[in-house]
Amino acid sequence: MKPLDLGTARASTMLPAALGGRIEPAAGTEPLLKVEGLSLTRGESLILDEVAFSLRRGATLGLLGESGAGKSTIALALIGLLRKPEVGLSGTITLDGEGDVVDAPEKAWLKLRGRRVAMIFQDASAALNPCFTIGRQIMTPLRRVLGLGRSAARVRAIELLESVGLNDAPSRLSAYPHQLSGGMQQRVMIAIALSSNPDLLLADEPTSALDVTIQAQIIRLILEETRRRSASCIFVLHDLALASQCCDDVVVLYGGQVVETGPSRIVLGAPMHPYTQALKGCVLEFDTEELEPLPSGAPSFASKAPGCRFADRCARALDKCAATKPPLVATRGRKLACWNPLP
Amino acid sequence: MSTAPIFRLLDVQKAYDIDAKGGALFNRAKRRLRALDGVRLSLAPGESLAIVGESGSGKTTLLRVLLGLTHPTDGRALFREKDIASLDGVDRDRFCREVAMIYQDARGSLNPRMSVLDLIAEPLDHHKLCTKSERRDRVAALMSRVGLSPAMMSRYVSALSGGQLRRVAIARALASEPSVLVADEAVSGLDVSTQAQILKLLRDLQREMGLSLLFITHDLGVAAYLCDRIAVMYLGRVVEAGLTREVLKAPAHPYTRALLNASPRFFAPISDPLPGEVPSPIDLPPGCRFAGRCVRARDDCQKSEPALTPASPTRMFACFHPLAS
Repeated sequence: MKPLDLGTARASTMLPAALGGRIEPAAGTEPLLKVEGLSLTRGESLILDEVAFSLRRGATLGLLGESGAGKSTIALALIGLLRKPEVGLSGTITLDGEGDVVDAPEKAWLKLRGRRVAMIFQDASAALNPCFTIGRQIMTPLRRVLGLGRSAARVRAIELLESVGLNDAPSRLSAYPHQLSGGMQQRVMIAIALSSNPDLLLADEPTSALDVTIQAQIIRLILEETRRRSASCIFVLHDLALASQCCDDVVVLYGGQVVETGPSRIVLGAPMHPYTQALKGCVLEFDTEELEPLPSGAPSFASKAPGCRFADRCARALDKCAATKPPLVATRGRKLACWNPLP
Repeated sequence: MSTAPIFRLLDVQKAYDIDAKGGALFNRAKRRLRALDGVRLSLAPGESLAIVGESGSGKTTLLRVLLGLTHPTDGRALFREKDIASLDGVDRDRFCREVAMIYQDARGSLNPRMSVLDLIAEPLDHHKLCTKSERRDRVAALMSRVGLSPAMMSRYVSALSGGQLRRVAIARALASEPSVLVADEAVSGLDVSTQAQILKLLRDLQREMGLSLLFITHDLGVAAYLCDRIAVMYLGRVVEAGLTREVLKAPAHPYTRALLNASPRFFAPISDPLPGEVPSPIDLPPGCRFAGRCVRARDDCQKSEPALTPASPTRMFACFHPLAS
């Protein structure tokens, strides 16, 4: 078999599983991903405010919060679709082996996107091109990114579709997206995202359009496939119960600020930030008698507002909260930004 | 108020004929898609009933039958003991006033060229429920009832958030002073915090105004919070029905169990609840339609279809090998 020309410095770890498998990372290496001081300004608004977190190799991380918290914006920055300087992005995104990629030009991103970082979008029916067959959409990255020939790409595409649980894979290659159910479309998306063995998979609400039984299948599939490849995964979620089931660590965001972050067992098990607690209180379990919903409201993104952005909806707010932004400090196994945390 | 049921469905069947692909023009075998296959339900005044099931289970067809938008191909759908399909004159007007609908897509269900005032007043005008001078006050009262500031009266749909839109849709549904609220996935696609607000509002309204509520959802947590009774549907049939608490505490049908296992719960391991997907409802094989995905299926499940039979006065299920309680 002819060796593959992958055109990147990391070619050795990029070999597809069918051609020898990937090289396991050495133990004790740097975290796969480190985000520090990530801020995004648009005009007078500060959309992301000093967001920081890191992700270990093989771990899963959940970005949690209501819509408008900045979850998807962070995901877009991580896959290089938002880059400074044109959008007002600052801070660093360090991807193991690549250095800081926040400044990387599009040409460099073309080599990273799909190969090292891949994304599963929320709405598979909108992300797949309705004009092309499933086969063409899954084989294009195999041929362009991995440089496989036509027949090798076809074989690999069938393997990938089978690995994501699509039965009758060879005949599915000639199907168009509209001929598949929502769950199957999402499986195809996962197959495409995994096709070049990325180290980092971003899953933006991958199951919010699906039924609960299909949701469980899809989440399990993503976890199994990333684990098998010792890849890391970032889930963007708004369901805290689901996050507790599939994420090792969580980052709770409010109005573009990290309010609480740490191992999900600690943060979601016993939240200390009133916002995390309030979100947890919105999750319906089968014996939920009373809901105590948060008052309506949306965070202010005004860059000059000094205090905690959650203060005006917070039942525990002190005078200090609106005046000074609480720093993110280590507290009882997690990092917390709150002047008046829950005991 | 009488306790006679508001809605009654008697073995309602809704089948669609589908042209088979291929074959000669005059020799095409017709195939039947049974969207609803023998559904029996009733809704009493003041009662809340959740219809739960995955996509393709026939929830929306059931709703269309209840609203008189399609007519059953077999069986009868009754509103206050009268056939919905043949309501006319005064009965038809009464039906339209008493049964209010909250749609899944709130944005799509509201005319973008009408102000909030006109949207909420439309049912008032249509049913001539108030004079011109009262109109504004009635709308303001409805808006405060659903937690909207009357100051938003002159806004348009494009200037409202998802949660505000749902509230407008609810106010509009309440305007005709209905006795039944019918809601199709009325909280899907919202943030959990907004969802919690809307659910609390719906439950308060239902209890305070003595409304009947028929809530279609795929979320068992929502069903448990809102509704006293539940009916679980699979491929056009009700497979289990009863008091929500009893059903969710000890499901008898393996499908109900699978739905429960699939619902996210804090720190529970993610199970693989069911193999495969809901099969096509066209030309179903004989036997229990869930048998192909059921871990408890045995030979008799493939041969004949279990009927929905009462196990206690408050509980019914359709399974030959139910889970022990």
